[in-house]
Amino acid sequence: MVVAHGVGMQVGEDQLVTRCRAGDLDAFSQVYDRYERQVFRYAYHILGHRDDADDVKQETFVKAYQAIGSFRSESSLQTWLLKICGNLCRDKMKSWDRRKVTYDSTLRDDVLGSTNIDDGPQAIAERKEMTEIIFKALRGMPAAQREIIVLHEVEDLSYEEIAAVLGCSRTSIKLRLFRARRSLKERVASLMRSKD
Amino acid sequence: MFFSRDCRRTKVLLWDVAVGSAADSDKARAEAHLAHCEACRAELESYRNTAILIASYRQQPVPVSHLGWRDVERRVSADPTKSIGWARRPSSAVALQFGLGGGALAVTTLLVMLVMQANMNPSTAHSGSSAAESPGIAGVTHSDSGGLTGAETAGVNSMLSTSLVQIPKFPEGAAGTLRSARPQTGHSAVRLANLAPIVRSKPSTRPQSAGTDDELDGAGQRQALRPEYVLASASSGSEDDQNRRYVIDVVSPSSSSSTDASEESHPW
Repeated sequence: MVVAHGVGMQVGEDQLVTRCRAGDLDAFSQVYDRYERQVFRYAYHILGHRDDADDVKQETFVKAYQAIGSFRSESSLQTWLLKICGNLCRDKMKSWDRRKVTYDSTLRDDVLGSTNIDDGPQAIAERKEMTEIIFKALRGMPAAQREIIVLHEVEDLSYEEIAAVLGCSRTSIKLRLFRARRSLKERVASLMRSKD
Repeated sequence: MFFSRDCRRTKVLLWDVAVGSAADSDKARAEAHLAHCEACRAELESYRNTAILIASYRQQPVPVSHLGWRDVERRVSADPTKSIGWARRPSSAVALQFGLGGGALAVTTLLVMLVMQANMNPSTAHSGSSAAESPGIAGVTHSDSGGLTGAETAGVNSMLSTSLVQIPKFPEGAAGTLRSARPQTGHSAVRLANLAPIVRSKPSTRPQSAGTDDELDGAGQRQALRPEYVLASASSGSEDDQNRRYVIDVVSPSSSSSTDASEESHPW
């Protein structure tokens, strides 16, 4: 069943791509509906800022529409979009460096998202504290390590998919992921020690 | 800190052990090592904490995006020149624009050069372009053979007739007294387009070491302010011909004793 669903989705994706190449905006709106949430989430985890993630998401789809003719279906549409998004995130971070923009690494309540109404105040406070630690740890990591952590641990992509997004081999992804996890673990341990 | 080979092998597996995704064989090997290695146990605990935090972070809802499909649709539709895929790459259009721009620049440069050359011509600068007012040729010879042959004179006249600037022609069969000439060994042939009058703006009292016969008087001073045309033989003959250089002394009735201000105000 899973295989059948995957094949069906692939066929649907191919048809969508063909229609998009012909300039069908309706088909592209379906692509947008299918992937915009994941693209936004990826940009948000990389950048850590909602407005910038919003801009990057929109730019990703505009660029994807303009370049859909060069998409050769060698990878999935999802990894192709994430690749564009990752490139735009890197450009955005470079522009921050140039403009000396720094964002507060503390998590704001409005970006923490909705909380379960059944949770007590203590549970909410604990969860916020945990999220804040990982948020800070991710912010403190080099962008390349953050990317790979987000793609594998948050977006749950396979090694092959990550290799397609980042444009490197599966072996390289495994090595980089090991180093990124070790770095994240050290940062989390450091932050937890400073909390205590 | 020193890690044994066993430690290094186990460390690679710790994340998978912490999140419970390790293969059975890897898990058994890691547990066998962890049983007697406190450092690796501490590290496993640290990985577990990180994995729990990551799992919590993954479940955390991401904020809502403010921008939707309408914004993308508006941006995509706003610029109809940006077509899809390869077609939007403007390489041919850009190349055409650069080509046209380069061509216009070349034409402009050529026109400027022509205007500058026309200004350099004394016949137009001093007495207009009228043939009646143009100066005559007093005499032409060259140093190493003692005189121009008829063929050479015809060749020079032919060159002058095709010149872009107006230059007085030699009379047919002209041969006269040697006024000035310098052999220019190794000097490349001066193109007719580069023909330019040499005008001395002021009599100089400075001795000229390499001056021609008529440029220096007995006291080593410059004598006359006459425009001279320096020509190299443009014939494609022997090397001797190529290196032969003529100084054509142009003498007009009005400029035979010309020290007038119009020449002094020449751009050079």
